[in-house]
Amino acid sequence: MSLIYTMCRTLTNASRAQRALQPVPRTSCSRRVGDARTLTIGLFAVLAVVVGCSKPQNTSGTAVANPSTPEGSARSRSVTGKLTRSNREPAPQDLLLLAYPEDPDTLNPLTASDTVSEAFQSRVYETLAEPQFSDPDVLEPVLAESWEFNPNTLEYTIHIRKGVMWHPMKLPNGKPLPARELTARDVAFSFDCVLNPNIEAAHIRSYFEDPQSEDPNNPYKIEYRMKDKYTFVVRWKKPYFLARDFTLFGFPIIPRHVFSVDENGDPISADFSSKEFADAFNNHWANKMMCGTGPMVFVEWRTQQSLSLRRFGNYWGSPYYFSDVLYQCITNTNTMTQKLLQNELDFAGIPDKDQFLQAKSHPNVQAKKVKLVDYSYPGYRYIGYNLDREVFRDREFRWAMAYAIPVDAIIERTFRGLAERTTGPFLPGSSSYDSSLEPIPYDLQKAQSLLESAGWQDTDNDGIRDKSIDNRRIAARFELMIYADSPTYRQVAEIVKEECRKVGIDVVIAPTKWNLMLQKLRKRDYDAAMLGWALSWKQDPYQVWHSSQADLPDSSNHVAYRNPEVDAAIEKLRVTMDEDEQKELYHRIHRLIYEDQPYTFLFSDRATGGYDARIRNVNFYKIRPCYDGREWYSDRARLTGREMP
Amino acid sequence: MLSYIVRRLFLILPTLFGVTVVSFCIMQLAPGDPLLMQLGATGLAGQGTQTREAYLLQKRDLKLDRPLILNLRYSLDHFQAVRQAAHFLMADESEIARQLNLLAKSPNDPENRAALRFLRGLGIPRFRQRLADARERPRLAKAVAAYARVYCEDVGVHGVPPLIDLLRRRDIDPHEKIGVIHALNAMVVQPFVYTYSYPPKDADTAKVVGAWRQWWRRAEPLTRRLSDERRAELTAHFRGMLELDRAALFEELDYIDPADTRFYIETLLSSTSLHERAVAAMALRRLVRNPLRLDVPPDAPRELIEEVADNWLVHYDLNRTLYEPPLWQRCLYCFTDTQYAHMVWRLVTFQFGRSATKTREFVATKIWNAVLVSAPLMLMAEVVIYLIAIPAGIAAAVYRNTWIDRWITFKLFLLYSIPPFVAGMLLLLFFCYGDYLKWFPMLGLHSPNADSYAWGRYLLDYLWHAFLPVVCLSLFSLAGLAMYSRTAMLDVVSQDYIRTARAKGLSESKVILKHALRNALIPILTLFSSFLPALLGGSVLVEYIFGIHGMGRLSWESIEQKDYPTLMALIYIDAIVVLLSILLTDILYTVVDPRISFGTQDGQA
Repeated sequence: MSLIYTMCRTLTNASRAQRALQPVPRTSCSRRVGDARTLTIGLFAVLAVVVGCSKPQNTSGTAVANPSTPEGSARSRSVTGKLTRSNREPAPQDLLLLAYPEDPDTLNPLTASDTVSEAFQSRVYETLAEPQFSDPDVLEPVLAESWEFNPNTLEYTIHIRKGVMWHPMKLPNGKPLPARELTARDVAFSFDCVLNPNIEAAHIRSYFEDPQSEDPNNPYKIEYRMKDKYTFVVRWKKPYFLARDFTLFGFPIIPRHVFSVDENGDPISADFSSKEFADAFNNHWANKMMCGTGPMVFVEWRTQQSLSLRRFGNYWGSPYYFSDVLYQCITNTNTMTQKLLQNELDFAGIPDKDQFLQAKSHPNVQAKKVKLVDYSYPGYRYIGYNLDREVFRDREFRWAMAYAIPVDAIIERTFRGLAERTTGPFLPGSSSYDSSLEPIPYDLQKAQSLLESAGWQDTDNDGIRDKSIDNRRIAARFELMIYADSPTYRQVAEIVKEECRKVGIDVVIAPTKWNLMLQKLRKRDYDAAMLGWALSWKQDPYQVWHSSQADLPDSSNHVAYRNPEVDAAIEKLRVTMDEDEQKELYHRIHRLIYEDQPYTFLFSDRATGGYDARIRNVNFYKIRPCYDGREWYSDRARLTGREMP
Repeated sequence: MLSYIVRRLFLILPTLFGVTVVSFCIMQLAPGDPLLMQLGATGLAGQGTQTREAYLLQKRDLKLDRPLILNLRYSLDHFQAVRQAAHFLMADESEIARQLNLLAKSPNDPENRAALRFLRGLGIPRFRQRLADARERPRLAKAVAAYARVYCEDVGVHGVPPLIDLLRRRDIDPHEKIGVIHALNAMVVQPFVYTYSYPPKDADTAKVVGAWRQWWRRAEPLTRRLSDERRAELTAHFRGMLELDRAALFEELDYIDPADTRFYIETLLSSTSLHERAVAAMALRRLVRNPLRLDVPPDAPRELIEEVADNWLVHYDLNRTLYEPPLWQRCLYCFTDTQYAHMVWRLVTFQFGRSATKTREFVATKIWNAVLVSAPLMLMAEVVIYLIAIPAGIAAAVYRNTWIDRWITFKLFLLYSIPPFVAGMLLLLFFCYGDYLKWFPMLGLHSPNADSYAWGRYLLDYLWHAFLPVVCLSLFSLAGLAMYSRTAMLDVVSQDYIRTARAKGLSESKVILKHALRNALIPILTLFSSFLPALLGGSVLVEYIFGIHGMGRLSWESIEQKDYPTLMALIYIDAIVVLLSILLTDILYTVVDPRISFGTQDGQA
């Protein structure tokens, strides 16, 4: 019976609806490092997971030179001449086997918005700068050698690194494109593409848009120009506290010589802002390939089978340790876990918590051939209340809900302890999160007295409290919308229902299909919903919490939260460039939202997974994707992904 | 016979028509907006207007903004509603709030009644209650502005003619014109084209030249004049540019000088050669970043409003055929410019177009790739089924009511009652995961580096991978076919000629194999035609479990992603194959059994 149960879950788990935005509480997500792409609803996609050979390879095979021997190091030095990030010689031959649950729609880094393609891109494409994993407040220069900011003109002058080569690329007819160096033209081209209103990059473009622009013909917050071949200038028309992040790592830089030509190598259009160019770009031949400046070169994507990368010999920075990376498409999550446990994958997520705990007793885990890990993942889950509904109008009612929901018990029962409580909308551990706020304890007594004091009484003796609002009797009854395909959400909802019943609130559970759920949220045609948000290091709270978003037909403030004090703090935060002041404002927003309880903040669940013990130096960080593959190395090389015995 | 086939073929047409109607209805009734799914991560988290814009573009591309089956929009009068929309787009929020107060106070005033009718139609949540509540009105005002914009986006080009009429009126308040301009911006995507598409076509000339001429009217006095020498230089340079291939030309365009704008515009407006005009237009586009202004800020000065209004009038004149189609075209559009008509046209012409997911792959390619995966697998499964089920059925018939019969029947029904996906999970558990045995691969149909294998090894590798999926696919169908052949055999065995055969002393094996089996096979043979749909259909669950990307998975994914173009093509092809295979069955009957005939009485004679 449990087998069938697992099976059904597996099935639903793979459905694409969940890919980037599953509101299902178990998987984790691998977004680009320090990804500034702000809020993404729902949290998961399966971790970059890994595939491999059925027998662990004997690594002292003849083809592999031991990196520590003189010949080995000489050979590897001749490949790249540099040490990797982990201060190792790059391996002459070593295959990193990963896996992914479902093909992405496109590999174009500007139009893709799913986590799988971002995992692929993270090794191939690069941004101008990136936040450090260990301290995301510090930016490391990548494609930009350096940059200056002029606070008076709000201008970023970016000096592009010289000598960065684009990966070699061929046209579909087999003709190779000439080797090109990265210049400011490529950067300008990338900005042109992002700001072309017809290119499907709205999720990036929105950072640069200004709804209050004085000139509606040019509604962007930025202007940019090439100063010379290696200098690029971005000017912000208004101060914005995330200006630096969006300028330097809002999106990766793409090659102009590839994306501006059609499959015969002819330029598509002279006008990168035209719809003609956008149409061609959205369906571009190179959207099924990757051509970046990163440490790995795209080799081949066999749809629904695998995607392979090879180390780039001409890379400007520290080379990748592994000579090859192979991603294998594994849709069945049970199979993925099994492959991991049998050392046939180098790194994989095990989203299901029961499966994860079960795996701990697997012989290969006991023998320390596979290491299992759980790490905190930036995001949180919540129950959001549609504040336009009379039921939720009283703050006391929402506080009563918070007291009535036994979050700790939920974490124990449905997440097996693999989750942490949160109290607000920012990333725990970051400077924006106010850790002095206490999680609200489970206290039915308190919940009841709060309801009493707000005038919620059971006048008709049906066990459900009611109250007269605007001369109508309103019963304390609401529908809790949950994601239909997730048994975990179902379990949590059942607990909530049971506890609320005890304090006289009737919760009706309404499992809903994902796209219907989206539609209802957009129209605010729901009472309460259980959802999750993914978080980035620094969050712009405007989209989710500002009252100007509460009346728009499709905005992220789907609970219609309105608080003038929060509005003022958010507005101030957006133009504050000083980090300490920012921190203060963040804490203020956090506290005000906590006091209002428009959401019941539940918890952020830990990502669970494992890796082959041959992989060393695996560290976990607070920002997505929570680990940095560039610092990994192995003590035994894997030669092929062979499966035949 | 022939006339029967022709008649059947003709019957296929209405059936297919019915299939399209039914599936179209189901797709329309399915809750949820198909495009919301594709916006994916940004659909909800998406920020403000732009996501909405992407959503609209996609919707228009897929023609999902059209009415379902009857397009009356060209004949409807949008004037009242559009005017109201423009009115609410003009005012700022406090102004709207003030008007809402008026509306709430005297809802029966004729002017107000029209406004209220429009507002109610916008679908703002809880509009009536909120209008009644004075405290709510400022917020409601914000919602009204946002929803009025959405309304304009939905009306699209049909709302343009009445707005242009408003712009033309002299008596209209310039303030009101701001609202009209906002509404126009919401309705029209990319009003002007400034360059020729590639390769250049003469049909574009009017629009391209018209746009630049309009720009030139205002820019002319501000543009530097050119000396004769410079003009001569530029003419020579321009000649040179005309000779360049496209790539070199684009490179060259990066280095032209904004000071020479006058030369290019004059070339564009005076030249008669298409190529020259195309190059000049490209050069201009490089030099002039924002040629025509199309939107105005809320506090725009009068001149700006007039300028932008004038631009919109020119836009209308250049695109008159789009906005005012002749009467016959309007009538035609009633039936042809609808979602259903566009869909049927794609199906009838077998031009399935591109899939609605982001890869925008051609649907035909997608389906063909999936068939190549599924068909061999299903073929193997069918062969296995026939090889096992027919002998089993015959054995059961020959040893009727003995323990052999009962044992076979029991086993088959046992298999029949295990759903294929459970069988799949069990097989994986026992034969792949290594907890018990580890004989077969868990995933896919090829080893990762199978491409480098010699063909013999490649084939072995394939069979090794395909073994479990094939087992899984065949288990379920064994019982049906076996029971069918058992019955067929029993029928034959009780016939007189079998008794005759036995009576003349033939050995039992000869009786069964030579006399009975051949006749029993006749009804079974006709089942072969059920092959075709199965080959195309694949199996959703088995393909999912074993990580195989065939037809079953494709159908499942198309449903999950609401990829309607792919889904419709799949349904349509399946329908055709099923209908043809039914026809094939009929024909097979006449072939294997001469007693059956579809001919007329004359034909039989």
